[in-house]
Amino acid sequence: MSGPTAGAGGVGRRPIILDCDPGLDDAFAILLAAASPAIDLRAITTVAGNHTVDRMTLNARRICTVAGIRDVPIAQGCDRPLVRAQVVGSDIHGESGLDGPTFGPPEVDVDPRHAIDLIIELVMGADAPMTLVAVGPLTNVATALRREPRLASLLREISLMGGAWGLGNRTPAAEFNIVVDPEAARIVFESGVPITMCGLELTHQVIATPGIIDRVAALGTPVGDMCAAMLRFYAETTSRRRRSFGPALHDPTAVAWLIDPTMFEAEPMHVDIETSAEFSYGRTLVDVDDVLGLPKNAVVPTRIDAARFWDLMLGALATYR
Amino acid sequence: MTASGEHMTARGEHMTGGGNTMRLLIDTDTASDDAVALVMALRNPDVTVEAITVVAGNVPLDQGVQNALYTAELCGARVPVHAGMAGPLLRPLETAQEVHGIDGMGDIGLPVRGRTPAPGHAVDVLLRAVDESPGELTLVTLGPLTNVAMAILRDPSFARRVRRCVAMAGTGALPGNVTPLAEYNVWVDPEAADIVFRSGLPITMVGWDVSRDYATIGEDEVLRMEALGTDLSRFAVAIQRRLLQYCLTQTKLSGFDLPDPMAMAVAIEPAVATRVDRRFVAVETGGRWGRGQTMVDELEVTGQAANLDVVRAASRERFLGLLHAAIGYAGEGPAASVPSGS
Repeated sequence: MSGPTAGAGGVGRRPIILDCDPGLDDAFAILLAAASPAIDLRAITTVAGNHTVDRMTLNARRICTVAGIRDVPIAQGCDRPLVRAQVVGSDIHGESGLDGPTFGPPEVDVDPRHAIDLIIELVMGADAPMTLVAVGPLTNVATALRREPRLASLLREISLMGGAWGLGNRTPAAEFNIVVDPEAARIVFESGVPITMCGLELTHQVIATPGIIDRVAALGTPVGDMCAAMLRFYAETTSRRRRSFGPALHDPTAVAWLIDPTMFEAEPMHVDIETSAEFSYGRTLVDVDDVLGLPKNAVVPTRIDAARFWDLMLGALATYR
Repeated sequence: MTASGEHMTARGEHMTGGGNTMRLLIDTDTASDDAVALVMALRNPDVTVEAITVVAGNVPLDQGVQNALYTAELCGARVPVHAGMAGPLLRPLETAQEVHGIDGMGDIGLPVRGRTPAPGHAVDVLLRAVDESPGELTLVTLGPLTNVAMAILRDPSFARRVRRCVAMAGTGALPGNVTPLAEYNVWVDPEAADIVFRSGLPITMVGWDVSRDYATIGEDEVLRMEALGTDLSRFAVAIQRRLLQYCLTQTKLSGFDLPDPMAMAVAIEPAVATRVDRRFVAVETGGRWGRGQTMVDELEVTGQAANLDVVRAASRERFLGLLHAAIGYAGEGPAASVPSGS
């Protein structure tokens, strides 16, 4: 089936808040969301994840500076998981969290509001139900849901990148965004908000091959140059694993789902988050075969038409001059 | 904002910095013993209560808000009461209404409904107050630590800018009052307590054991309280009706105990605590039976740095002196100073 919430359908652009930890693939999520005529990007919020939250916020400002995204507030959020010790992903994203390109000083300011306050303010005050796109650890989203319980009934959807029904990428059991803050993920998956879970089996279908990187570089724009440099760095770090999938562009799939769900195959499933196990905490227990017969709390995209995705992504990047 | 007026007494040795008044933030899940603790703060002329923030715990959030508003009204205090978190960070709320009554106030028919709290979420109020007066405010926590944990998650520097935190939390000596190992406030939201205990907040932990040993109110003491003959003294006793039944049958005490008032007494007058040990204290969040245990490293076997001041013994006389001074004054405005017992 296609998504229950048909992306760009109906009147107007779909209002979203993008919560992220940029992060090389996060950068593409920002660029896709800001460029898409189907999406009204109302805020970018940052969370500790791929690196410390200060670096994540700086990176969001750097990306927006290069891309000329000036009218979207960037608010900083939580600097650590709810209860667990912080873990960062510098092995993949480098010490800046966004290694590869060289950046000048950012020309976009940080919004003075805390990400949680901004999320609550925007959702509560919105003219239409808002969608959260969450492509980092779910600390900000969970904290906002706990702090303002009415969000759960007001949000249209949370489209997130995280989890897997099979092997993880940070531990054998778990994917990075979920394992960094499993308690937060559990709050989100049990919140009752319609969830779309773009997991590793989906995102591993979206590989930035050398041919794709050439297409990005051929744009010949500052954004194209930045993106090509990021993808080359990312291709190098992701190739170090014994069983490398190549540079999978995880995060923008959660944005693409909102723009054009027809490029996906997806099914509603029941998903639990393991929070108490010794080794397998952070695992998303995806009941693919419905053996539990429990209510379906997430739509899980299983396949994506990679060619159409890259056309969408390249088209978005080409809008930046 | 403030509840007290003139600074009338010479208890300067217990006051903050160079000022004459101790400035408190009180975070509470207002039920019957919290209410007495609120009276002790609101009626003390040397104390300014900047805000009361309410958290779900003993009773659902709105009931706690109503109980705090009613108690403040009874004290003639114009103090803002703010609603906060409606449940623990990660777990479902399990109230203690079997202990304190359905309304948390002994089910004696008090009109604890229909009042309106001040605008602003408790977590925001805590953060703003500490932002505006860094290093000056004493935080007294009488309930689950959900509000405080949320403030710390939102701004970890909150912990460094609170002057002192006195927490009715955990137990320094077993047993607990809700499981053999755990005290209610920590047990109900152990993850929140874990966050708060690890945050660097300068915490003085007043555990349930201190209340049990030094703040249990038996029949003789009830008669002395009632003999004060004020509305507040009658209130302080009457609302413990359900708690008394629970203490006699479940916690096996010779009367009702007053954990939150004991913590408040330690906050207002540090000398109420007669023995304090600095220890590493951790909160057990997992395990089979250990949920919510405050693990006190008595022998320093963990090698972890001490993070809490743990109250081990208290002066019952000084505690009762503060209690009587608060509930014994019948006039308008803040209570007059009554010398403490010692």
